[in-house]
Amino acid sequence: MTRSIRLALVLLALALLAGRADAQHPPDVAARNAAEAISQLKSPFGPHMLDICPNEQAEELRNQIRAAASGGSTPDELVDQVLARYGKEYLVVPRAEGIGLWAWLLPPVMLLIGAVFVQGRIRRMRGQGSALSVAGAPPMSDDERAQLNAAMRDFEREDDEP
Amino acid sequence: MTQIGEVALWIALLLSLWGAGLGFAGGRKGRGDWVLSAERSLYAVFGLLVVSCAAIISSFLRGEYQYRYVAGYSNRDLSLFYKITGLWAGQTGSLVFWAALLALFSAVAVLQNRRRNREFMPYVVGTLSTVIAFFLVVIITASNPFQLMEFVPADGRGLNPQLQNYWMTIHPPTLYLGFTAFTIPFAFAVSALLSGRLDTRWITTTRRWTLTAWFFLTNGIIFGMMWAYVELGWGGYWFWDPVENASLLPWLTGTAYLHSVMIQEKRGMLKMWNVLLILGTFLLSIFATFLTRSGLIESVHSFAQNLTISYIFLGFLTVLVIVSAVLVWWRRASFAPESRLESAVSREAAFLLNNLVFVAAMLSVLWGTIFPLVSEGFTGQTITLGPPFFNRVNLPLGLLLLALLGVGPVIAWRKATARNIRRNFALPVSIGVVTGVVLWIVGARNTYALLTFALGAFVMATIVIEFWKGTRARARIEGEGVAPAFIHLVGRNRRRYGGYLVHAGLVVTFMGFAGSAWDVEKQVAMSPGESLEMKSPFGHTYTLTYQAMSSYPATNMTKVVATVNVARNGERVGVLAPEKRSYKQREEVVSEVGIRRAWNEDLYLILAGVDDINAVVQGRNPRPIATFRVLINPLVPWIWTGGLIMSIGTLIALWPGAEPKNPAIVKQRVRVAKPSEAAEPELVEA
Repeated sequence: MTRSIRLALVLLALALLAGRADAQHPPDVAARNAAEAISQLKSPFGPHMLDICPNEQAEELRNQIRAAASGGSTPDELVDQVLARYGKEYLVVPRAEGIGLWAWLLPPVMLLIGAVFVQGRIRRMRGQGSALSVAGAPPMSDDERAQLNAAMRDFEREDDEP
Repeated sequence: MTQIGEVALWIALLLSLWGAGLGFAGGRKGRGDWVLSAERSLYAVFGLLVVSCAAIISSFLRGEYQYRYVAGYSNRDLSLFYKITGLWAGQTGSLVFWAALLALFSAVAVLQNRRRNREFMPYVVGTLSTVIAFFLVVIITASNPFQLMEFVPADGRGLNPQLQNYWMTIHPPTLYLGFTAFTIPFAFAVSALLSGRLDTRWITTTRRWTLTAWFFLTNGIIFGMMWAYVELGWGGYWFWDPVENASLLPWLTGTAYLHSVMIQEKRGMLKMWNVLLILGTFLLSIFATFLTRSGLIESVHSFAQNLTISYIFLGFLTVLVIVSAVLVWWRRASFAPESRLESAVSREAAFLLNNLVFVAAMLSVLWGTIFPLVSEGFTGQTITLGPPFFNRVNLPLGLLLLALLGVGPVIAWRKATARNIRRNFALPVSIGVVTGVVLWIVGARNTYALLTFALGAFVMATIVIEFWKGTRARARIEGEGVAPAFIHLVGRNRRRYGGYLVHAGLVVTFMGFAGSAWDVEKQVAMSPGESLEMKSPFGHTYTLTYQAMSSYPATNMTKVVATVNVARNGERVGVLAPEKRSYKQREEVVSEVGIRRAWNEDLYLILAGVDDINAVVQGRNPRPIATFRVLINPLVPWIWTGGLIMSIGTLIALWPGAEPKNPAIVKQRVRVAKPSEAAEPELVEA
């Protein structure tokens, strides 16, 4: 990795960290809390999520949530108020407890298992099949490797259409 | 005519069963005459299904409301266009249309390959006929479009207003084309498994079919997004609804397959993986249909719950899974790789990682989609997972895929040296990082959006460099100008450069998605003459002035239209006219949005409410208070542009070329570059 790339990566990381820090202080906390709460709820008045449900009662509920947010409620409190009134099934971002924990846990676990599997396959594939170099033959020089790479590139270009 | 259509369905079922039986039996016994008969029965099935589709369309055009399907999806005042597209407006017609498209592709595939791939034909015909027979069984037993009403109504119920939209008329057929086209590589994979011919031939034979399927599926998904954006009236385009997810699942595995087959073609590796991917893609497309049609999971695509269809689909899916697993296990010894992976830092390894991410994304979407059923099964309580869940899980995977878009095509096959990595990645990585930093300096603060743009710039840089290197080399060798060299380069390497263009389109689409980080939204009630100001994230200010409200009858509906003047930084730029439509037959009021499109953003106006709308319709209140929801959606036009670029790229890759060159001749005429030239590949004429 060249020095310029390293420097650029550090700059990007700093910029992203600064961006995150800055994002903690939005101008309208109440509106943000209301929007966050609404985005976590399914509409009790149709198959849509609450934030896009066209039903008039859904609009009324959204306004009630906004009003409660203006009174200082946090997103969790706002969500709890709606769930207490309509039932837990209207929460669409499950909390990490009980069966809801599995919703969050399984995707990363599957990815991890997949990564371990792929790593195992790569290890196995490196030991399978026919090797390029014949045992006992001298290793390729840099020039030969460059020639081979160029030839392979040319072949790839030609090996394009069926 | 309509009765002929129903009879045609029955004959088609008998013939497809005949084709399935003779195809498999002919392959097993080596009876060419049986296989020929099976092939011909497939052509006849296609003809019969065309007759059946024509009968349904005819019954729509003639207003034959004695048929439940016609009465449920049309009425007298419905325009001719929507009467014709009534064929796929509902479930029953859609299934007939699906079967007809499958029969069309099957007939074309058989016609193409009946001589040059004779050895695959018996089982290909058998598999295709079996799938068609399955759909016909579903249609005839559980979803018959020719079912009669108990009485003859004077008029139909009309088409769902939200389906009366141009994008909705082409979205379902395009998706069906994608789903059904994936059946062809699936049939060849099954044939390869049954016949034991598991070399790369079945893959090269079906390469165009796979690309065709991907082309249609991608476009079908994008058309669906366009429909949601302009018709559903909430300013979004993707909802993570079960039915939307259902179309994404086979797309994800199909895309993984498109990449992994390259490793088998070039290196003779991943044979079993490729078979599993194409089997999985087909199974997921059946699963998608099952989800869509069964109504088991609540969806905004409100198809009625049909338990008979659910059981038939579930049964077929179970049989397919078992048969596929048994076949793969039976042939497991034939999947030995022909070469070995030399390094974990190579294009092969990058493609493996790409496949891992695609499959992980598919599994997480699948998990999120079926979670309501899982939670209900274990706890008795249905827990639906909404967009925040899917976004949180899939955004990191999407960013990883975006990074791999830049790595895969450039990193060396077999083994990438440190020098190769430096040479290929130093400039693109620097461009990506500089892009991120510049965006941060100008005020962009959303982490995911910043990463999307930084990675997108990195990928774009790799693509541009690849195009530039190839063009420059060709121009030098052939003595051509840059433009002809570029055209000839792409023309002679369509799959490669078409693929790069698809990648570029995907990057543009991803950037369009990232634009949602800067969405601006306001909802306000206004009287005529009042104005609203909205500041765009690009710095300018829109002023929207509510001018007037009008109401007038139109074909099949009554419209209430608001006129809103739009000014940009004080200069008048146009008028938006969002509507409320009241459809006669359905007694539903539907919003039609007004959109002002620019290259970088959409000004999106929804008429959310009208004070005493009945008084407006009756002409008693020409100046009502109206509630408007206004959104500025940055970069949404990039999503559609990206989709268009992807389509063009796929068409380039698909474009028919010359017959395959003789490898021996190619080999002789390859010019080996001097070591000093190795950094820049030369082009050769074969």
